[in-house]
Amino acid sequence: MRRVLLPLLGLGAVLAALPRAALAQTAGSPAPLRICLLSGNEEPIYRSNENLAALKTWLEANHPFTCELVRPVGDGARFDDIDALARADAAVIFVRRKTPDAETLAAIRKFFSSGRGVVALRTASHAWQNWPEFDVEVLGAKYGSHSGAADSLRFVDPDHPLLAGALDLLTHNDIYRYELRRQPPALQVLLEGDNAKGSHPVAWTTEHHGARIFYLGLGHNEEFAKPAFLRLIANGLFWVNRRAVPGAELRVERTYMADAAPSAFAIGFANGVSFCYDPVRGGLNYVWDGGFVNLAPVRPGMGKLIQPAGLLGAVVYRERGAAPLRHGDPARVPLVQFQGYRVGDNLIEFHYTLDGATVREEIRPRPNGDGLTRRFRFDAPAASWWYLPGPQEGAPLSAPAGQPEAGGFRFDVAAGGEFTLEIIFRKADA
Amino acid sequence: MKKLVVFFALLDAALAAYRIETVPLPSSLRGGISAVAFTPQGTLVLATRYGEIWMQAPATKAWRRFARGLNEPLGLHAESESVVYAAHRPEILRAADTDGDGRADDFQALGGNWGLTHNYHEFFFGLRRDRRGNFYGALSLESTGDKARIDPAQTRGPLDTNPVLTPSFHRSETRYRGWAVQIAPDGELVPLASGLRQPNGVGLSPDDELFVTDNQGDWKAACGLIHVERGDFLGHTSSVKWEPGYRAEDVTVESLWRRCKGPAVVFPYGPMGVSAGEPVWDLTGGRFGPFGGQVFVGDFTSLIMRVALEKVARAWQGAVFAFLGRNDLPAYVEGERLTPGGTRLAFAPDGSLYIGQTGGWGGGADGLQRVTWDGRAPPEVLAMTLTARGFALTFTHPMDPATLARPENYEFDRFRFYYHAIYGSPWIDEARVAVQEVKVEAEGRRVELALADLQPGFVYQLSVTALRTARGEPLANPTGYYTVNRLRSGEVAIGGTTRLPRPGEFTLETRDAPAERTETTEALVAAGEKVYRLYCVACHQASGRGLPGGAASFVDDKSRLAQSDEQLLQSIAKGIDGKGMPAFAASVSPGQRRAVLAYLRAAFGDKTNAKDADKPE
Repeated sequence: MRRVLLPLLGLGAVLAALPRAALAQTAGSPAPLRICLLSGNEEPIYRSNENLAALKTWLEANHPFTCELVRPVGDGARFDDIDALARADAAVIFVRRKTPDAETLAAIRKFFSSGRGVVALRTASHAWQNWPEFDVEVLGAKYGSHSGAADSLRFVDPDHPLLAGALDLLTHNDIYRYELRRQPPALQVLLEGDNAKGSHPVAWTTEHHGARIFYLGLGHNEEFAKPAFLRLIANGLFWVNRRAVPGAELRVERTYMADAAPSAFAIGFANGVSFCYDPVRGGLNYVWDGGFVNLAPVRPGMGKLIQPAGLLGAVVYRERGAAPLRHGDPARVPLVQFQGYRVGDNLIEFHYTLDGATVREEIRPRPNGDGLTRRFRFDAPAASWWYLPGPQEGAPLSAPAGQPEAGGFRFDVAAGGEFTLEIIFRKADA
Repeated sequence: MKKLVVFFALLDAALAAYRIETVPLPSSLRGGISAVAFTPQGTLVLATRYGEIWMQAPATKAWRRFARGLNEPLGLHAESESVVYAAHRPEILRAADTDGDGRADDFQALGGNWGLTHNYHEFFFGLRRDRRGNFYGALSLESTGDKARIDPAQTRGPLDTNPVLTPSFHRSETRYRGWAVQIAPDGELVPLASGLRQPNGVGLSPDDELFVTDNQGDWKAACGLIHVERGDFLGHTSSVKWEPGYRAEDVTVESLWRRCKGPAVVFPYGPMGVSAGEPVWDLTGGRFGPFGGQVFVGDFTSLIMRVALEKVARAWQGAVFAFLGRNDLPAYVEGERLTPGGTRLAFAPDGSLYIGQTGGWGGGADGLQRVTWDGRAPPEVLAMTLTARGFALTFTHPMDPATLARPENYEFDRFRFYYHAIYGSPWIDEARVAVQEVKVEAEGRRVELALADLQPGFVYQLSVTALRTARGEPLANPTGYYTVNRLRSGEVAIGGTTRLPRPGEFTLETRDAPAERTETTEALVAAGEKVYRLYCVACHQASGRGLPGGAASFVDDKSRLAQSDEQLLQSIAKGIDGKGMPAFAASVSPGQRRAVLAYLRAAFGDKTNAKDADKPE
């Protein structure tokens, strides 16, 4: 694989992290995810040992997950196999007010700084008596006790992939009060509960040390009997691992985007990786990771002044060159004419002409969620093509079949041929 | 027994005619209804401002979301259950379901060779398709309302920031902004006509002639229905810079005024709404009532107008009457009232009229309504046509011969407008025109009226409140406006129904009516009521309760009239920034503003509440 290495800017912790599954990087379906189910809430209304055991059975029967259930020993100073955390790609935490011993706490802290995904349930915000700032530090919100029974639940962003197939979730159990300590895009509320005392965040996504976190503030015994609740947990596990959530739709918005021509595309994949496509420039302008877009600035009503859509995630790749795809002469800027697009199963294909030659550019997430694959197909005779991304930031652009040339790649493409580019923004760790 | 006779007489009176009902929308639909269409198979298709396209199966009434992610679609052409064309900001988008799952997966761009930036006001209105497959749409001007200069780095196509003549609040800094355009089936763009401002309605006549409604503003004295032909200049100056061979030094106000093609039918601001929408032709074959072949236009205020076009000396002109929304007494309209925001109309295959409503353009509510006819003709002026000496009126009912024969029962007032760079225009050169002769024909269903004077270049207001049907009923909508651009003889006025202001002429003080200068409250209030009914009623409503989410309610929000006279006069003159309240300084004189304020205080002010406000809680 040839690769043009470019300065990595602003990636921070994202690149430090590596799910084990990323090691099994193949073109086909990725390896099953290993999930640690960490139990530690024996309250009769929660019974985490039993509920997580049932969850394990359900997850393994329905999804490509292998689960290890880890239970507290005695008063919870230790767990029966805390090392399972280190083996896992992601964890479900359902623990309440435990005081792990120093060695156990170290293993737990290590996991939460490893970049692995977390689905935290209900009492997880006050899981550790000797790590009281866990709620603010990891979950991004200060736990504030009970608020009473929910009258109704509201899905703040019903099209979020994490919510696919779970929109019929209802509860009348107690919900918590939280003081959110992060603002969008660092934290995105997905579910709010309303009761006489007001509106309270019930579920949200956030990030900690490059790890995706999904907090779901429900978990009474009866919730575990609800398909929508189980679906949310499974969706959460896909999502925190950047795997496409089954049943989630590709999100497409033609709107006003920063650093792009007017009426650019925001495309959100079912794994929470999104990109901006500029139909005038004729290329992908940037990729971000996490949530999708906030369109409120583009829809001001009578306020009239419009602002670009807000990105609900961190930009992990950016390129800026004019008309990046060239043919014939890499120095000549071609005429790009946008023709349309086609949406498929978690992929999109843009159609345009380049000096009259038809180009189809398919963009899809890599199966293990570590980046994007861009596949260019041509309705043209054999020719040399160049891809010149121009000034770049973030992850490198790589090209399995390209020759580094002119600040980009050259491809010698047969008639009716194609080439691919990869943007890989998460690396497997050593 | 006598009671029973009265009851039957009422039933027979044939008053109720139209029923308005709300059409329930799917709960996950987002954004106001920005386009309504039907496929040839009868499937209802909607677009929303937030970029969704929905379909409702005619038999099951089940909804499905056909497409999403469009950029503010404002028009639709529904070819079939699997192919829909949408007019959205960047282009025409052909959305097709190629795998039969009911949702579009293939999107093809057509046209799109017009300018596009980040300016919020770059709407693309449409969408109509003629028999040859050509599409028609219209591009709004950019607005300086956002006070943001256009960033050249975020501009599609050329950018030209030079004003034409004087800087306008509405500008055409990128290509073909303010133009009506044709897009060929292969996507080729043919710019047709310049001079549009906010052309929020594109229609094709049954003969594939293009009509566009435009909105009042600078260089636009009033809203109206404009007949568009290739090469026309339609009034607003900003867009002429994109005409081939344009040279700034050649252009003067007078040269543009001489070229300006005014509306075929002017919609006088106030009585005929404030913001006209899409024109649709009644081709229902009588299933929507007696107005077959006429044009219906929805206005942003709760109003649907009815336009009767005719060709006079080879050009279209005609009359406009209110249809629904001005006199919706229970006797004429059943069910609900019109919701404001309804600028999108479409006739369903069953002959009912659907109205798509959009908030967010200054009040109004998002929604969908449907109007059905119950088979009884409302008492109305069916048509108003120009004759050599005046006008002929036909009626939907036989009229009472006694009221019909009296010349004084027909009040004609004519007026015209300024062609100028100021928002809107006062009605100028107003005059009462006497009816000299009335000829009753067709057993009281038609009259011919000879006027004392008939000149081209004026709007003629007709008021027939005194007429009665043979059964003694008044007309549902007794006021109409005929735009006389031409006489039967072929005599044509330059500049449509506008003229240039004479040097130093346009000072508002010169046109205060005597009653508006009066100090006696009663006379001032009476004068103010007339002003209110002309300019304010469309948004604030006769009840003073305004529009939900839009124009203020003086009744429910007492803080409005708690403001000082000075504050309120300022709001009337200058408008309210960021709200729908326009500036009336150009169209309402200072005397009229004082009068309307006196009326507001008399009609809606609440003295008892002022006392209550001092009470401790």
